[in-house]
Amino acid sequence: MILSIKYFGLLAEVTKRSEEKIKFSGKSISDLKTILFQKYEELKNKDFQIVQNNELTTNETKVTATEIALLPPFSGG
Amino acid sequence: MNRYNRHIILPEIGQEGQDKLSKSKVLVIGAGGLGCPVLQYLTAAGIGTIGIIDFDAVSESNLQRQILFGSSTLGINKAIAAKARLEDLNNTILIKAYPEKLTHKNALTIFQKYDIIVDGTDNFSTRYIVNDASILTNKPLVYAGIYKFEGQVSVFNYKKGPSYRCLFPKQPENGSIPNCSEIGVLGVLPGIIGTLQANEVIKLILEIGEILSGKVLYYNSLNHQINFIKVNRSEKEIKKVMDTKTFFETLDEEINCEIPIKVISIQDAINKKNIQWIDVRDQNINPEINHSEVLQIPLNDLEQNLNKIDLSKEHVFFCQAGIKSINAIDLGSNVSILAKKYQNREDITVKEGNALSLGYQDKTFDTVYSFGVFHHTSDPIECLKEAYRVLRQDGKLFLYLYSAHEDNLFKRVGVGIESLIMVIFSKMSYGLQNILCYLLSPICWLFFSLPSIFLKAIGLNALAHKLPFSFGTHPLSLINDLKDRLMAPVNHRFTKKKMEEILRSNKFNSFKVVKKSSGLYIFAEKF
Repeated sequence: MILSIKYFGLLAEVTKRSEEKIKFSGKSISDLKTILFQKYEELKNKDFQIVQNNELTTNETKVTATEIALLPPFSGG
Repeated sequence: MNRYNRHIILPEIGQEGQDKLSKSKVLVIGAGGLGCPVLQYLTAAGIGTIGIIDFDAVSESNLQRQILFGSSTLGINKAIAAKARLEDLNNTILIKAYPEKLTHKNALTIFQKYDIIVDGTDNFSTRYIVNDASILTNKPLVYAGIYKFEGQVSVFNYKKGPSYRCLFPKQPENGSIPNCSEIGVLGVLPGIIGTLQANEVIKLILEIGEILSGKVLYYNSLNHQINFIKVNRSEKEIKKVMDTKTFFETLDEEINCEIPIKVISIQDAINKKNIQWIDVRDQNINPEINHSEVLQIPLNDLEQNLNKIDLSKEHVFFCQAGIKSINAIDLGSNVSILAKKYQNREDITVKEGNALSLGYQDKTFDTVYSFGVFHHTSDPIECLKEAYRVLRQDGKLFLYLYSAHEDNLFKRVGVGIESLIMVIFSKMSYGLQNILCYLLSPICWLFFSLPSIFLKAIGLNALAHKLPFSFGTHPLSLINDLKDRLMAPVNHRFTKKKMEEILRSNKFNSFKVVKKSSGLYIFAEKF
């Protein structure tokens, strides 16, 4: 399926885009991570959560939605 | 009361709601970009008691967004400056300033005095202390964080709701995500996000509307996109925090979250680009490193020479192997003077003692590691074992030992005398050695440091290097220098031959011992 992925904050700088569509044939969030880490090696060193349908996921969560977002923590204040 | 008339005439608030506001107590952590708008609106709204905690002072670059401050408050502590401004805004409420850093130690005591906690901090270490202390004291936490043009807001720990750790369980390393002072921030952004926080505080007190609990609001000021992300409470994460209850106050502080100091390996340092090396050794210490990228500022002069440091670069501080690095506090405390001046800069790096390897990095052995063996251990075998541990990491080794190979007659005489004193010292008790070092230090300063300073001042550097002894120019560092040099057992000083024997007898097969003017160097390949 085609996933639409949103990158927030610092992650948009790492990937140099705030949104993109990627082809995904895997099953779980961890499969998605593998693809993203291959594409953007620098992501490996970043802290973030992957959100699907506006809900937090874990590595085992099945990818069911087409809208995915990568959320980093913000330290500024 | 006319002041709150526009609140009171709102049916959702009324006199009853206004009374709730005036009876409530809110603590705001950090009077910065977020803290300022929060404090301003909470004060105007008539919150009865407001606590402000901030250890930092107002600087000019804060004024672009930290709206409680102005030119007249530059250099003043933020909590105190904010209190003064807010008392002018509303003198009917109580404002308490805590001009200190929030730590594990003081967090619980302070939090207990308030009903609601507002997080306006600018670093992860403090954010996690705030979160954990809110859980332990069972106070709702109105959280926000900002990044350039984006912000996140949520209310944590509200009626058994999730905490910040349920969203981000693992504390990111300080420095992994840059903050406003490094990458900049749109001045109005913390105004928007901080105002959202103030709004949540008021709603919490009045018990109206829908509290932003169980979800995080993401806001992007460039396109006004708003996303709500659901967060579920993780009992596991909450329990981890609850388990720290009995010893929370004793938890070790991070080195200092505003002063992130990394210790990196020499190889990592060499590989880094855009580095400014800062040699903080005393003058006259060998080897001299004359390199365009190395800035020489003796530790004792560091504070007066901060303007020489190029802030656009990353900084690697280093000192002599063994002498200062063994006393890392020496360097650390002085570097923190520097770091204090540049609070929030996360690119200040400290590297202990590798002057020698820097000096020789371009020579035969590309991967080098230096040791002030002489100072590290009284036993040469122990020293080699330590070297072996390093070798396993780096593959190659560079050892440096003091010895009596000097380049001029004065120096040789000097080393001879020093060796003689060391022999005499080795027969004395530790206490007596100490007393003698103190007694000798003014003599050494008067006869060697002072002439050296004088010769250098009039431009006779070459002559200054010919003095029989080189000591630190600062009287205090001179005492340590003397202790380092005289109190080490005499068998530390090896000749080339002796060192080769030790190496062979310990199965160090491939090595090369080189005499240099300032000492004896051993280059060893893998063994």
